[in-house]
Amino acid sequence: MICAGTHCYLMGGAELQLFHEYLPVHLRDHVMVTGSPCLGVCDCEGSGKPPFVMVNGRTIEQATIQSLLEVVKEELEN
Amino acid sequence: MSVTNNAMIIRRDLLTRIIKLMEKEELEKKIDRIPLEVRPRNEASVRCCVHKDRAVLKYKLMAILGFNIGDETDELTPLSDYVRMAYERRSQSDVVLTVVDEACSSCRQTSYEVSNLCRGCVARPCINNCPKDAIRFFNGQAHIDHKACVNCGKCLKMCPFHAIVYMPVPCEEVCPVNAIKKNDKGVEYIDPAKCINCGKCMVACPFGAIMEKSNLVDIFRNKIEGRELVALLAPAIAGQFGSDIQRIRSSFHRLGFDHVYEVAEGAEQTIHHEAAELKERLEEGQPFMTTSCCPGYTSLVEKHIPALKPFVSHTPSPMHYTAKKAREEHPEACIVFVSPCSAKRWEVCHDPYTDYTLSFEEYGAWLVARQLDLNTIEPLEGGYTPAAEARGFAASGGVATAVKKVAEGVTVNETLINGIDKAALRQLKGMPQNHPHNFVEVMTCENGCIGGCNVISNPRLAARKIQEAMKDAPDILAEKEVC
Ligand code: SF4
Ligand code: SF4
Ligand code: FES
Repeated sequence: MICAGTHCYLMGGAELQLFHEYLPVHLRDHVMVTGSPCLGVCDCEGSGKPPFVMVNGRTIEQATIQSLLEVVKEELEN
Repeated sequence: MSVTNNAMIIRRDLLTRIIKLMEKEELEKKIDRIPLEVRPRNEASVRCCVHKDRAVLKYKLMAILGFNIGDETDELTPLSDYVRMAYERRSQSDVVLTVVDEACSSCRQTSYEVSNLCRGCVARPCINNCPKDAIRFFNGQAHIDHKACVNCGKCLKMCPFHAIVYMPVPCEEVCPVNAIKKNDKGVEYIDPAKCINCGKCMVACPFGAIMEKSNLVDIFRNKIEGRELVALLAPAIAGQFGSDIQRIRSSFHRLGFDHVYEVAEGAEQTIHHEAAELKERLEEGQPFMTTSCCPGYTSLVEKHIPALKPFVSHTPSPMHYTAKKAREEHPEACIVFVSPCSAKRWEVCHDPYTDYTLSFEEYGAWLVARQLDLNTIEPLEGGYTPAAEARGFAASGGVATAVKKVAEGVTVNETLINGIDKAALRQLKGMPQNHPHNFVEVMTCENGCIGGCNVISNPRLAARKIQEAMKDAPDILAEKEVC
């Protein structure tokens, strides 16, 4: 779940909205990518910096296309 | 193309912090703490030390307060003093970009360098092909004598190990008109006589050393003084933040604006006038006409291609028409253009009806400072819905499509200049002799305004959103109800 809240969007989340295009073809059927309004983490102290993404309940801070690809692969292996 | 990088995120973070403090009316009291909060003592620094990082942040904040970094007379002047001066000023110059010299100067002059990959091979094709005899060998590796080197790049092409690299100066590399150059201290200087304010250098600099001088303080001051605020939304905003235009309009009311206009409204007038002007000119025997709505392009013609000037349309830009209407309806108000680029910021300084500029980025930072999420804002119902073709102005090809549709009695064939780079510049220079099609649409930015230097969204996503906004809008030729 990719945060499309305004805070995340401004701080780099805009790029993540294209994440599905970066997924390798063989993974596409195994991952569901959805957008979300503010996940509510951006304003809590200590939760890290935007942009945020939730992958199977894990919160990823300062997400980038590359870091997300890593996390998605990890999650799929488990 | 990725539109985000760390330098950009730092700038957006600083904007957000400044706006938060302005909202609480604590800017003067707390601004000097921002560099310390952003770069605390115990965290790793990006540059040589934390103090250097903080000094850079201070100058970036100075630009956000609307000052030219070069105007600093005393290094010890605290930011709080600048805040006071910013609230007191009543005007600003039309120089919209400023170089943070503290952040710049790290790039070496454009050059070719031999990397450690050099194997000192037997063939040594680099030596054999260098026309200036600039390559020396010592310690078993090639070295370039920069006094003799003329940057032709032949050695780079010849080396079979790819050991030779080209080291560009990123801002100079992208500037289409060679307006930015190192001064004698090695710091970049923007020559106002050449600069067309396209903002490409600002986007290209990996140190974020080129900043726009913001009007944020001036907008807040007007608000505090009780003047009505009017927002004019550039068509490209419809593609930003993945949100829709009705929510974006509504968010401006939440931020404290009293009236909101879509500049696409003025674009309708631009379309009709432009089409009529094109017809008239072609009938008078002129071979072609170019658009004039992009101020980056009109400055380009003014400063670099005077021979093209007779072919540039005289029709005012959508911003001008919209601002004129807003001024008639709210004569005392403070009129703020919400802008995709620094070229428009320059146009705002010169238009009689507009007062200030708020960039898309600054708008985003304002939303974040107020903890507003566009997804959860109630969309604004009603209001004027501009024609689809007018909303299409935001993307390359949009103006041509609209004019083609409206023009009567002439067949319009268009040439699109989708972004000004050095090649496009050459093409434009040749146009007075080498007639192109009869209508030339020129956008300084690749993709059009959705690719402007202040945009938030990836232009591809933005283009999709603009298409959606166009679907909800009436046809330009349909009879409009006057509201
Ligand atoms: S704003 Fe554009 S024209 Fe001006 S110096 Fe930068 S790149 Fe060159
Ligand atoms: S194309 Fe649009 S965004 Fe780019 S300089 Fe021209 S007006 Fe500004
Ligand atoms: S905007 Fe993404 S968590 Fe709040």
